[in-house]
Amino acid sequence: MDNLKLLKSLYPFIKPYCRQLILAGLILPISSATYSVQPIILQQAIDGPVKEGRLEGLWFYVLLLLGIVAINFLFQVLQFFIMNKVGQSMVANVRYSLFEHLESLSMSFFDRNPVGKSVSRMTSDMEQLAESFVGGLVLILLDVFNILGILIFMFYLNWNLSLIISVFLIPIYLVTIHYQKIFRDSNLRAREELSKLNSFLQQNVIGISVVQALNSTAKSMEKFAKNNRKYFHANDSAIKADAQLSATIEMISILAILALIFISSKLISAMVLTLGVILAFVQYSQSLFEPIRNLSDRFTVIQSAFTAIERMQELLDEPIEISDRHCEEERRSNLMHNQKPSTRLLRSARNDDEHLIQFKNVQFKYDDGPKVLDDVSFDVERGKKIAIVGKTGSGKSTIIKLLTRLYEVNQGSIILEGKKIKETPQAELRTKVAVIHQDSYIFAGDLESNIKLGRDESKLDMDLARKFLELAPGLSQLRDLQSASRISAGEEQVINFARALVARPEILVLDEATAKIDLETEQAIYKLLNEYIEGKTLITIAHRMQTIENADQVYELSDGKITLKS
Amino acid sequence: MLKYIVKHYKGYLLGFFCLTITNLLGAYIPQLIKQAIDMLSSLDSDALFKLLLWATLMAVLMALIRTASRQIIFARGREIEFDLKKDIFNHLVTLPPSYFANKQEGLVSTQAGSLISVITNDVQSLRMLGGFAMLNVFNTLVAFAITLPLMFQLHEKLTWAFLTLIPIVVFFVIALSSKIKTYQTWVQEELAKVSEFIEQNLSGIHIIKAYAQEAAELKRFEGFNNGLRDAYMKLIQVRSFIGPVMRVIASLGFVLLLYIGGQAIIEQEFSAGDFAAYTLYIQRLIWPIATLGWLITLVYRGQVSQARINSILDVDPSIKDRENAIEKNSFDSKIELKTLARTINKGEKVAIVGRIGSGKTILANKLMHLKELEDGEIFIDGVDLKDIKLDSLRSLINIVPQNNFLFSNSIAENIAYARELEPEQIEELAKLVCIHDEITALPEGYQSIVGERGVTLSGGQRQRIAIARALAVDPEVLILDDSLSSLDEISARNVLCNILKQRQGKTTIFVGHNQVLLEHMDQVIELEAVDG
Repeated sequence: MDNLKLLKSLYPFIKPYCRQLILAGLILPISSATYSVQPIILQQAIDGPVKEGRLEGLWFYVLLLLGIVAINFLFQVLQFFIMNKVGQSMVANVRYSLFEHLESLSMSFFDRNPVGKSVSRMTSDMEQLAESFVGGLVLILLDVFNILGILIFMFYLNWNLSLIISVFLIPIYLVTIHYQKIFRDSNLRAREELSKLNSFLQQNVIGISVVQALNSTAKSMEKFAKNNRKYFHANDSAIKADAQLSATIEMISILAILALIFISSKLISAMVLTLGVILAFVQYSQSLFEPIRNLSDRFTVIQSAFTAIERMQELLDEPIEISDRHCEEERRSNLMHNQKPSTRLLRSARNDDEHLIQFKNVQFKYDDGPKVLDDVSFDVERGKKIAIVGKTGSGKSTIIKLLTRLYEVNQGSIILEGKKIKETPQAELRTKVAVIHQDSYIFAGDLESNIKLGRDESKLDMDLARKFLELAPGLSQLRDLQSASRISAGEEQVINFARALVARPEILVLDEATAKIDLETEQAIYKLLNEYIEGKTLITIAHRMQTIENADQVYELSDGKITLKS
Repeated sequence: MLKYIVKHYKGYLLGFFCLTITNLLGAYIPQLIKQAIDMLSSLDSDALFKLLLWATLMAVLMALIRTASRQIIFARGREIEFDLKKDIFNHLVTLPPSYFANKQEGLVSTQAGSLISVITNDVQSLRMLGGFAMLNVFNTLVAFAITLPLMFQLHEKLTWAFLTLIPIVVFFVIALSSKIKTYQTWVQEELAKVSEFIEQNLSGIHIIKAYAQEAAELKRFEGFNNGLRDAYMKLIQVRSFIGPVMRVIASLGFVLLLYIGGQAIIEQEFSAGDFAAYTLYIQRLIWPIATLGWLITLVYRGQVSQARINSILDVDPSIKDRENAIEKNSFDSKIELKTLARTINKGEKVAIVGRIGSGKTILANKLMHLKELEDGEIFIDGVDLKDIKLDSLRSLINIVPQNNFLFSNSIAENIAYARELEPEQIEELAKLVCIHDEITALPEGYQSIVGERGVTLSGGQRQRIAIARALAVDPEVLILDDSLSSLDEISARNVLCNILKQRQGKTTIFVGHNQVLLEHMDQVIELEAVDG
């Protein structure tokens, strides 16, 4: 069973709550028994004191019933509470694991998966899981136990009548299965339409500037209305199935009572049936069908739980393409072979000055795109200023993304300070090599927290950051970045400089870092930068010639190859 | 909400009519069962058989009408969902871009994820109100109206006793529901915080990775995640009572039946058939009472959702047509920038330059009235921009926005976004912006899907596709907001020359500081830097 496998994948998240689950499991039969025994008490009272006309005898049964109802109530509250608590705790654990996993995935995952999709994996899907874990899984158990309890008590009372009632379980089961299938198919279709509708909405919100700038709002409205209509109609058969199912089951339960009476008329003449038994059966026939009817609802609910688990698993199964595994392995093997690290260190230190960074025959292409880099080799010495030029789309930015291991090379290797970058923990690598990208992102919060980004404050040089920020006069007036609309693209790039330089990196990479900044400000930035960069290593990617004037070496990238320009 | 319900009143009335008939039949059938049970001792099996057959017919009829009633009313809920979605979307796309850039507006974050959550989850809870809740409220009313008199007829004292249960239900509902509302709101807030955090984290993942902040982010996430869990724990404490309370009240109904009904049988006021019929009646009323708790939760959730939806719908689109705005279907002579004392003539090539933060993009957006304008700030052919209908203005002037957003469609669809184009026309435009060769080098060519933000393309490639998309519209005035910044010098020159050739006789405005650019312009408008 596939579903069983899915349930198993939840196990690690439920494990800490095993005790509570066992407790809830123990309560289950008690609350079922106290529920299904109630008609028997009614029967005992009617066939006993009521028939004999003893009022005080009736009192006893009334009190007994009241007691049982009270116990049933307490245990049910307890049960719901425990199960909801376990459900929510579990979901919180799942959510944490999902986020943890998400953070360690490589950039190629984020290229393939829109933000909205991952957000809904972790919010609405998880809500669904919590709701359906309790509303589906747990209530199904409760219903099953209730059905069992009722059947046991019914057969205990009278097996003839019980058989009649049980016969009606068959049409109910068949009808439920039939409608369930329609319902599920229709739901699936509806969900597909809904996700289409939502991604259309999301695209229009993210791209609102394009929608309005090209005067396409009317067109967007029209298209949305069309998708919306489709979604509306995708629900038609689900509504129909739902209405027919509940009406049919109600009808069958009435028919069961009618059949019960008909058969009773045969039996009562044989004097094997008492009034109390008939009345108890009228109640049983109603209360037996209710959990069965619920079961069908629960299966719908649980289906969505399985969908949520499936999606969760899908995300957790997403391989971590770029991990620190190699560095750990190496450390371990060093320990095992008791290899003296000093020799390695010596060697790398010697290499260091000549070859701070080495690209050796690097080949790379994005997922299913064309080859971007084809056999790229070059060296960067410590303290040198390097520039990489090339036409747009030639793969300049890609080189930098590979250097900081945001993507993994297909072939060849990249070496930093004599060590393959695979063997350096990612965090260490990215702290060593600071990159100022062309794209930025401003997080909600204030300017300061956007510069610090949660880094250890004692290691940050806020004065240096401030010097850069002063170059954008508009920024110094900002306290709060909630109204990010006031930050222009050029200002974002200035923030990028402050973010990178605040940590005083030894190796700095500029990737079209000033493309959106005017010439005057650009010159001011470079003036400030040159003071700082003295003796440190700088790699600049640019297409504006004046930005690379001071380079010691200029490399040109074209057709996936790199050449040194004089 | 009421507005939407009223709109579909015909459907609701029909649904309610069907429900009433269903309930009449539902009350009639127990009467038949009562007669049948009382006949058991009379041994007239022929009459009994006829009676049962009649009851069967009635049961079938009831099933048919009940199906119709549910279908009709649930469909109204869906209609309301449809209307709400349409209204919210249509409102959203008329809001200025600044709305979406502010990360919070009223109760709702304006990030795409939160807006989607409103348009799915919150609209869904209103759909439940319009379908499920409407059905049940009406059903409860009708069930009581029809069943109660019959119950009184059967046994007065018992029915009064039964009715005392209702205040108890109401008491519990009120006691629980105010708490539920508080906790429900709390949960919603925490949930919004979590999803906002995730959305920001993922949108800025390239920054987080570049500065190795994954661990710090995980720690922050843990805080939000625990906050959400704690809010849920509170809500659960209260919610765990609802189901059992409603069920215990049903059971109490039977305790009363046994106590008073049992006495009545002893005193011969009550027959066995009466007892059975009464059982069925109680069961008919118990379900509506039991769902009452559920309904309350629905109503509260609905209120929270309604407030969130309103905080979108109530945002005044600060930019909209004035009362006597005019159509303007042609651009004849000039655009006057009064505050800058500059004039852009028809057919000119103009560059807007200035230091960062000097408001170049703002000016570009003002020209299209995407940004709020003062009266008398900009005139086109002597008409104040604010007096022109947005739709007509925006079909005269278009912008290639700075962010180069590409839709998650094929490249061909992106180029043909604003205007239907033949494949040859698409290729022609691609050649114009010098990207045809690069597109055909892709495995899927023009049919390649570009990612959420066109990530697998380089910045320069995205820029050129965005230019092609705007050139397809070929408006009277085209503004390119820093659209050549990611191109190398040679490409920029080629693309620029092609654009200028294509737009001969039309007005083209460039925002940017490209040296290449300035050589070709008729005039350059320099904006003063804001004073720090």
